[in-house]
Amino acid sequence: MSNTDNVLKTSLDENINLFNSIFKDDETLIIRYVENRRNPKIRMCFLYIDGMVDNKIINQDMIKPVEEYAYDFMPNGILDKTAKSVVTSGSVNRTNNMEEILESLLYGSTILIADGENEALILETKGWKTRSIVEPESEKVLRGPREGFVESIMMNISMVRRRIKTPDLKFNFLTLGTRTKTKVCICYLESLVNKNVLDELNRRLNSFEIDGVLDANYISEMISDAPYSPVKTIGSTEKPDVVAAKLLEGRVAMFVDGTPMVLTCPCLFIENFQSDEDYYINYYFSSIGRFIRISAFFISIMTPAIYVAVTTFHQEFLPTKLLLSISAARQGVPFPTVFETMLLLAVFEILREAGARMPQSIGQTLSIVGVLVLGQAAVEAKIVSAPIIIVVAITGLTGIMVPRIKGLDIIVRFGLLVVVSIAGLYGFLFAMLGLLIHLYNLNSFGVPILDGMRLGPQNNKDTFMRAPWWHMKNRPQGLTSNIKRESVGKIK
Amino acid sequence: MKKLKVIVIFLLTISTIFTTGCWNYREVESLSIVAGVGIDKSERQKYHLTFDLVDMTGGGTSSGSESANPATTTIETDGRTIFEAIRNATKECGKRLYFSDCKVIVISSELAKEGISPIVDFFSRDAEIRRNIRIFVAKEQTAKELFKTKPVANTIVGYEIETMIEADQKYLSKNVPRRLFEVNNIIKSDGISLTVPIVKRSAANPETTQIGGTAIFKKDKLVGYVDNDETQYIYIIKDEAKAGSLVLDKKINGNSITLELYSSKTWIKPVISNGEIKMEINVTAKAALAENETNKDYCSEDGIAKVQKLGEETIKNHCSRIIKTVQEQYGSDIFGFGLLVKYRYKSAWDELKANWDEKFKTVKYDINAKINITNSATLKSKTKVGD
Repeated sequence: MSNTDNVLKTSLDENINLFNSIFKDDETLIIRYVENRRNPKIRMCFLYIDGMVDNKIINQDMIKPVEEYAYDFMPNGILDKTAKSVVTSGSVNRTNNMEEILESLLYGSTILIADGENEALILETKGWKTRSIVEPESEKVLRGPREGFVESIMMNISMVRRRIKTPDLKFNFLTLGTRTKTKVCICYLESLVNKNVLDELNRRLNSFEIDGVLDANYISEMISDAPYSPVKTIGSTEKPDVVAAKLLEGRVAMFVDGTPMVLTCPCLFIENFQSDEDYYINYYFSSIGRFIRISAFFISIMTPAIYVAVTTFHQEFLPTKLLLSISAARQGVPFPTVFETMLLLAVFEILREAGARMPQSIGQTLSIVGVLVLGQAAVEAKIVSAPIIIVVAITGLTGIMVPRIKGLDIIVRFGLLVVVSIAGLYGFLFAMLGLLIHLYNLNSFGVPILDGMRLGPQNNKDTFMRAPWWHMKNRPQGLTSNIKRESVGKIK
Repeated sequence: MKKLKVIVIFLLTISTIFTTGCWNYREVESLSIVAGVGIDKSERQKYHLTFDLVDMTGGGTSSGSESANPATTTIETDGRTIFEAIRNATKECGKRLYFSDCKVIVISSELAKEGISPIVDFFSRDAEIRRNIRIFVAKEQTAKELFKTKPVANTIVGYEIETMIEADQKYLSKNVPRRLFEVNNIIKSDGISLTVPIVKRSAANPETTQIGGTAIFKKDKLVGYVDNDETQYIYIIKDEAKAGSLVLDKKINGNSITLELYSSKTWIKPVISNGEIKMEINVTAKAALAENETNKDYCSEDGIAKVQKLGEETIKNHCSRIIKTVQEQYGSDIFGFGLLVKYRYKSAWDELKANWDEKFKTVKYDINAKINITNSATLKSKTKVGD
């Protein structure tokens, strides 16, 4: 596009040829030539991409008025006049910047060029089909809003905007992806946002180049604080109410066009255990839920490792009756306990992966294969022992309770298992210490990710428990420039 | 510099792995779990050991996931020392013997008479044996014979003996478990002698084992036994009884009254005056009227007071009888009177220590018993027989 020929001329025919050459071999470009009925000397041309526009708008609000309007002859003012009084479009932009013209054209705008003008009008006519708003599969709630984001950025922004109706809510747009030209929108509440976080985010977004951005994760990976760590330092959600809540805590949200995931940062580790439903139900109950989720994470990473450590290194730990039953179950099993555990954990991951990708109609087959063939038959054939099935079942069940850190969960679980098979509980202790040190080392946009869990009464009202709203007088530390929740607990 | 730091930390971590305690990788099924050890005197070598093993094969009938009840099986070995005998066991069964879940050690009376300190030394030294393993003496049979009996409520003899002695202390208090660490402590301290419960074949059903009576030691050597029923009062004096039944000595028209002891607390105060040592023994017990065979109703206030008094007398009589018996027959201070004197009269004890065994025989005692009957179980009055 750096070609110097790519500039608009005053001749309509030349301009049409120009577009034709740019869109050579692309038959979706539609060029609609129009002559004014009363003044055939006024010749104009609409250009748009088929499928990206709302044809009804173009026909009724663009072409029809331009054809029928009683133009006076004024060769240099046609576009001006058309923009001001002829077309009935909400957004009309006059420019001769070819790059901008092409970008808008490809994003659903209609370009109007006229004979005798070396500029063009960009008319807002976006009108493609989007998925309707449905409840997101990954973040289901029993109580609370069920809206989920869709793939259209403007629709997503509108969903958040509807929830926070203040001019304080800012939206900054930028384009990422040298080829996909994906629109990204940074959104924050100006009076709450931590300026350092915002500056750092902008710096990072401008510091990389990428071919295409098809999902929010493309960006998330590029701007992550610890790209090689399995721990996420950028949050993501599919629900507008969650985004609104995070904005209200001073976080920054990032909308990416074409994906129903919205990124939020900074992201504390505790956010993995928080669910939006926690805030929509009674706080006693949600505190229990929070506690169960946190325990589930630890159970899920530790259970196989501890089982292997205790049964192969530290049999003294086991009560006599448990030792007897494990020993009885292990009689005749050919594999070492470590291998047995790894095997079954791998089988579980395979089943989970298969379950996530398969059509619903074969779900029953999967459960039969998983439960009967792999579970029962393997035990009866003495390929694995029965306690392993229980261990893997507990691990699997608790693992899917905290879906946000599924990846970390699996990696740590297998890591611990390997360490434990070499050094028993001693190695387990060291591995857990290592994990803790790693977590303490991680920052998300300058905020330590374990920050939400420092000691102190105000700091833990929304971590291990969920305090009632009137007690949560502070926003989480480090995220915001304005830590006091001014209006919380005020009774009118 | 940073690299050096990382290397140093790495080396330190690795070196600690090799310098910490003993642990190694071993699969559960490769262990042969020992439930109990019997130690007899061997004719050819010094020790004849019987290991009560948990048989995991389920008699060869186990199929699939249903784990058959583990059965009991024994192996026997000889050795000049206990350690040698244990290692010789590898010849008998391919697997390594695993002692962490061993619950009982039964020592034959023959060996116990020669002194149990070598045995206690080995088991206290070994890393795998738990310090709370229970020690028994086999009185009438050899230890080997006892492990070949048939368990009743359990499938493994060793574990059955363990549950029997635990239940005994909890509900009967005629016998109290003596653990390895206690045996160790009592043997090495002066002013107290060891008692160890006895296991033997049940008189009524010789196929099974039972716990019966207490073996009395002097230093580390077995000197005698106390008959089953009297042992209750040994433990009441020693303040180790937790519960039990108390049949009143005095019969009313030939019928007995039984109290159920809920708790019993004994406090002994040694008094030395004019060179005479006297023990003031105070027993306080809480009880309920458990059984009334008589035709009288004792649920009135006076009646309860009367039963309390009878109970107190019973405890008094039996306690003094058992002290007298021990003093006269064995001269072994199983009640730990010496220890009490030592704590209270430190300087006097230094003199008494040398010939405490003789002194113990002359110790006077004064027993006070106090029984508090809190209820008469679920009956408010006597069950009446209609006309």
